[in-house]
Amino acid sequence: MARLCKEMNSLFSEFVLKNLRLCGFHTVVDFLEENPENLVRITKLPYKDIVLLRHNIIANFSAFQSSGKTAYNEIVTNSAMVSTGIERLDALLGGGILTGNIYEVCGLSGSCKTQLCLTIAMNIALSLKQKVYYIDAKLDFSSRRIFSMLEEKQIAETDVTETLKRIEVVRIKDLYQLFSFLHTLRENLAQRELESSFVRVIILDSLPAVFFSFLNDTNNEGIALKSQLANTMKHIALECHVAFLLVNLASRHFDEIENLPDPDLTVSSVQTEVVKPALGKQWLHIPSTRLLLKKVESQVHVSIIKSINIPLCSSCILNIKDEGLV
Amino acid sequence: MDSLQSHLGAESGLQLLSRLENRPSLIDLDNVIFESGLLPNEIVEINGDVSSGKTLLVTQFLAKCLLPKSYCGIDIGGLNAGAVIIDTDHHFQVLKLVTIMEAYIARSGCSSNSLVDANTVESIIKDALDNLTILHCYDGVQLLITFHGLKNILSCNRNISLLVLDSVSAFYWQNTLNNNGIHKMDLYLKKILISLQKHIHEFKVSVIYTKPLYFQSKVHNDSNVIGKYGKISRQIKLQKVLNSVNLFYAHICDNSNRKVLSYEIGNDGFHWHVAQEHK
Repeated sequence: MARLCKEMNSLFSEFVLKNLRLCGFHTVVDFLEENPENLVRITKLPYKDIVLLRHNIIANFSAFQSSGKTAYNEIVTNSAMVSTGIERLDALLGGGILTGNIYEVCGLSGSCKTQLCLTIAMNIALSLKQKVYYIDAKLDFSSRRIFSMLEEKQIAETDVTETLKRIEVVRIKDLYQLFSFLHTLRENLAQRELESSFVRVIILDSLPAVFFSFLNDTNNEGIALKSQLANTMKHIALECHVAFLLVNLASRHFDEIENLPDPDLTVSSVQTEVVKPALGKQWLHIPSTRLLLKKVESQVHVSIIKSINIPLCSSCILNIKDEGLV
Repeated sequence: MDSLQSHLGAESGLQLLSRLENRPSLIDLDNVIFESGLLPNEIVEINGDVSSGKTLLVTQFLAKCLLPKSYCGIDIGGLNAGAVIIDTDHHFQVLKLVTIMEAYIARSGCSSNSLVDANTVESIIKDALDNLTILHCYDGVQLLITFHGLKNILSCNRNISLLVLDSVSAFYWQNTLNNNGIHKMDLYLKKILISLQKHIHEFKVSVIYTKPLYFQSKVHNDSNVIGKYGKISRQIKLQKVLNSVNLFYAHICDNSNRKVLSYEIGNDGFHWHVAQEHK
């Protein structure tokens, strides 16, 4: 909430602000919503100044406006398709992870979500020589696993250290630490254009871990914070041209469902097993692409269950090996 | 000034301009969904499940809206109208819009014309993209202030006929956190629509907004809209058929009619199973 203050405009003198506050105008929205004539009466400013102030506030606080052409050119020049290093997954995703987006990996517990993230982090650090942030909310990041994957690939020792250095692990204990990390990250990404801090992919393992403390909240605070987190991540993703890869749990439901979109069809009910991503129905709409993982013996089935440009239900099969998922 | 206006029936210069000017018509926006065309000042709601194609449908509307009617004498079939998208969910992708436009141009039969090569197609699309204004919003306050700024955008661009809000519910939950209280979802929706319409009513643009299926109050009451603002003229509800790979239903209702269409989603957008003859 932006409060009205002196710094906004020289026309907001102590006197004007005091009068506005006395009449209950505290934020820029209060100011904009009010009839200009009333504001003239309250602030004793001339009409044209009020109009000027309104324009000024609108210009400073409204959304950044860009034309479709600018946006297109910006995307063509600045966004990147980051290869995950897993051939079949790249093929499924249409080339790799596209910056500016939020990807979600979900699956039942033990469906290789973390393994997938570790493999992707390693591949990006090893082959693309890019820095990767690995936000570790479960406090179980295993550098030993990455080390053994690299060993299995028979990478030279110096490269192994270099690769491990490029994976920056951020340990967070709760949601608020996550927020403060994201805000610092945003400042860093916006400022530095150095090669060494060049980041394209940020991995968060795992999302439910951050929200467990809100399990029983009655004030919907958890939902509100989820939505705030989503908006913060989307802002960073678009503004700084990075992609987020989030890990989410899924749960299994057995349900009897009637599905009757067509009135001509007769009633039929089927018992089905539904695997649903965790974090509630509001979260379902947040990521732009969602992958569902399912472990079958020593293979992982990856299918797309939400996306704007990949056909739904397309899938691929990855093998679990000592060197990671391939 | 407001009181003066109501006494004398006077209007401001801005109102006069907007009354006289003619924005491009959206009558032909989509002959399957809007049989009688999309009219100025209409509000259309698209709601639906996750991955039922809400953003895709909107992208498809934008493609048709932005493309030119013809290019150097070759018929393309767009509407040559400008559009604004207020992007709050950030699912809208310009690249997808370009893909759909390419497919649209290819379908119109231009590609078989020897005069049109890949470069021409690209320049047609770039010109069309110039008709689009994108506004990225990241919080509720910004959204409200952006509504105030629309007046300026619309009066500077006479060819904008369509305004898209994807989606209307993006900041609802944050709003409950800030205001120490919970608004009913329907009430929140109505408030957003009213504050949007207040700013754009006189410009006679059509509004299409999306919302998730869950986003309505538990006790849902359709018909309590009083006054000229906040009324939805059409509702499109998208739903996936359970256990199907790629089969969806769209329920389309307006004041008098109600129809159900089935569709599947392809790379270039929606494929309707019926009403092909409308083409």
